[in-house]
Amino acid sequence: MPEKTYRDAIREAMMEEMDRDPTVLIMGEDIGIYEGTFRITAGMLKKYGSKRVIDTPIAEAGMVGTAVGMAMLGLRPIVEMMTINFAIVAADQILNHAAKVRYFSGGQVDVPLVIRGPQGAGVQLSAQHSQSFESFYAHFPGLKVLAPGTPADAKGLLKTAIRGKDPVIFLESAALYGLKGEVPDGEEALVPLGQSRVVREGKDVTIVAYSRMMQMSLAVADKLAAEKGIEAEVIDLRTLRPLDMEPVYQSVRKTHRAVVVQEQWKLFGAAAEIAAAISETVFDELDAPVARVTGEDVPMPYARNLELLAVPHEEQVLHAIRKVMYRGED
Amino acid sequence: MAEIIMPKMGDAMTEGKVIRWYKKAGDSVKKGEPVLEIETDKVNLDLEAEEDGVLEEITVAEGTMAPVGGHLANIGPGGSAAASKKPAAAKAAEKKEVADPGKEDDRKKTPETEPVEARSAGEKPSEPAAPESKEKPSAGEEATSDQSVPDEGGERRRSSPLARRMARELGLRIDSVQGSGPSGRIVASDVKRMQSAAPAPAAPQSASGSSQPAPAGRKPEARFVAAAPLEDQKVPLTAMRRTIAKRLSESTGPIPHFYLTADYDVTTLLALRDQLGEIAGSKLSVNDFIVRAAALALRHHPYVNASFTEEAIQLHGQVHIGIAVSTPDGLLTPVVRNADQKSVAEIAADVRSLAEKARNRKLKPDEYQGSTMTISNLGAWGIEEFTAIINPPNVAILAIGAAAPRTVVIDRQVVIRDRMKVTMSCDHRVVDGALGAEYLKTLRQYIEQPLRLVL
Repeated sequence: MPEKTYRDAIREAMMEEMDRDPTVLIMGEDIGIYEGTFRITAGMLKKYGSKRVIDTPIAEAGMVGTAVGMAMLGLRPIVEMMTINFAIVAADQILNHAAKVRYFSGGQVDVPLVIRGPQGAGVQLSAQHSQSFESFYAHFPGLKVLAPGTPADAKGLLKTAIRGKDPVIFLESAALYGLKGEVPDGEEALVPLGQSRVVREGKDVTIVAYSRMMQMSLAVADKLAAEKGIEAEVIDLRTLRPLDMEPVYQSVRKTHRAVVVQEQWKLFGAAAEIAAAISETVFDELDAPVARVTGEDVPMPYARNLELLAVPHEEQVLHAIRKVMYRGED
Repeated sequence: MAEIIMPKMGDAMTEGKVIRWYKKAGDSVKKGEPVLEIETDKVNLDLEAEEDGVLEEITVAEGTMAPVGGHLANIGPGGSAAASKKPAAAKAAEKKEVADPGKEDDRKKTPETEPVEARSAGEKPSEPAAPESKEKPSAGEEATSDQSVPDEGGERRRSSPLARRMARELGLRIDSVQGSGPSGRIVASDVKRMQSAAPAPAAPQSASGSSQPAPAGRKPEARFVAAAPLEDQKVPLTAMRRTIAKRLSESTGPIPHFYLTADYDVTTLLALRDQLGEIAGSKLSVNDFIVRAAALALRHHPYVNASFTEEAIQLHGQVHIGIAVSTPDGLLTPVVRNADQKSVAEIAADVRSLAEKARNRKLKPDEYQGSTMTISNLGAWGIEEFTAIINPPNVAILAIGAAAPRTVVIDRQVVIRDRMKVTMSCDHRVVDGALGAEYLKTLRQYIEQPLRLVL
């Protein structure tokens, strides 16, 4: 299987779907002539022309509103946000329109819309451009929220999202664009939404994560196995809404302890939801309170050293694992 | 400067135990932050710092008792210690900057510095000042949030859901397990340890599992399977157990006795005794069966096969049954050693020779010392029911009455069955009423289904 970057996998997903279905189009700021701030859309304007690769003004509410209308009338628009942070300008269009049109129309009208773009820290974009929005969007019924952590999932989930009938928030990790991995071609690449996946098997402790924190957790798990003989099971949620908890429950039934890792802030974050669901469902299996590893409760600093301190790192995951396993600082 | 002292948590409290120090001498503490955990006779609880500062000397070590009002530690101003941490954190940050000139994957190269410490030394700008907040200040300190609440009539022990479930499934008392987790939380590994220390399933069950046709003819011992060895174990006294021991002793003398009487149906046992006696070719007494039954039942209830000391409850790893034997000079209690591992016939032989020696005053010390429970049987004198005094350091004695035909109601019919009353005297410092009752219930299974005794 060919190795590709996360960035190229996203472009490939869009181009394969645009080749396959003439109703698919993409719009966003600087995606055409400039070929995208993160070069996700490189070469697309040349190939598909300005009717299907649309450079928009700096007007997110207008972009999303336009796209909602397109979707209601049968097109399949993709809106690229330069960063997902900018989508909050369009929050009313997303939450009160895209997410509710089917409900308000009694199921007569779907909104097959994908809003995608990078989020999260790690590339020194400072406080306004480094936030994580998964729990914000996942709170609302009517939306689907995806957060792939590998190139293959980035491609497969995006292709499925473009083909679906629902408005989808597709959260890319800015810090993973350069990550390489095997990526299947064509139909084989499709990944169903709402399926968590065990990415590393283990018996001693369950680590639940997604996106970049899943990659970091995997590195911790490998290190733990090599250095301490502790086998951590790592679960990649991949989709935050719908949230597939069954693999997590199964894993906790085996390991009796869980650590949830998220880049976003602790209060009301995805890890809180996951920890609560574990407690509700497999309470009697727990030998320790579910531990959370989260970003620090501050706006993201610009300074490189402070940014590194503000997002979760490996030592914190190790510390949480020691805690739920009742192992001292060994 | 503030002093941390042992608080008085109830009228009966005179002292408390320091379970653990969350902080070391020299650590800085914030007002409201838990500094140590103490155990009283009712409850475990955290003591919090009453002001910001640095924990100076600690005068009472972990695991040590201190009187109410006793000095435990000081919290002083100690500006120097707190200030000295800041440069370290700043240095760590600088080190990172040099090491990682901004690549995408440099996360992995985070320096050795313990991140938690680095952060706690820094400011927490977004934390609102909430001096009276009950919220623990440090993130992720869930361990202390499940504050123990005294239950009516006992202490509540912290335990993980898994540990409770395992204890439930294994039939263990969770409060008999010593917790090794934070704040003494009982966790799965503690229950596992308890399980491996507790008696293996009694021999009759395991033997009956491998059932083969009974060999027709002579030797009932042929099928006899000796029980697996047990282990000695010392269980430190909890504050609650210490209080029970003290208070009940004060009220009724050195050993606070209480008595439980059970009425057993021995019709089957008497018939079996006659048959086995014929097969073995020697006379077996009802008491020989009771000795084995009592010994096997003890394996299910290690706290009955125990001794009380001021520091700990000693659970005995072997089951030695003392038999009260009257002699012209008085009472002696020769001991059938490892009675749980001997067949009824072996026990009968032991008892016969021991009783003989006792009457002739030929018993050696190791033949009358070291019992872990005692049986007194006045059935031969026609006594229907009586209470016996515990033979220290045992924590229980069985007083066996005469087996005799009596009218009983079974299935709403009056029938005549052989019945026997057994009164158990218990040392309340170790054995509580429910435990004694459980023991008598187990004993009932052996006595009323006596095939369990010979398998």
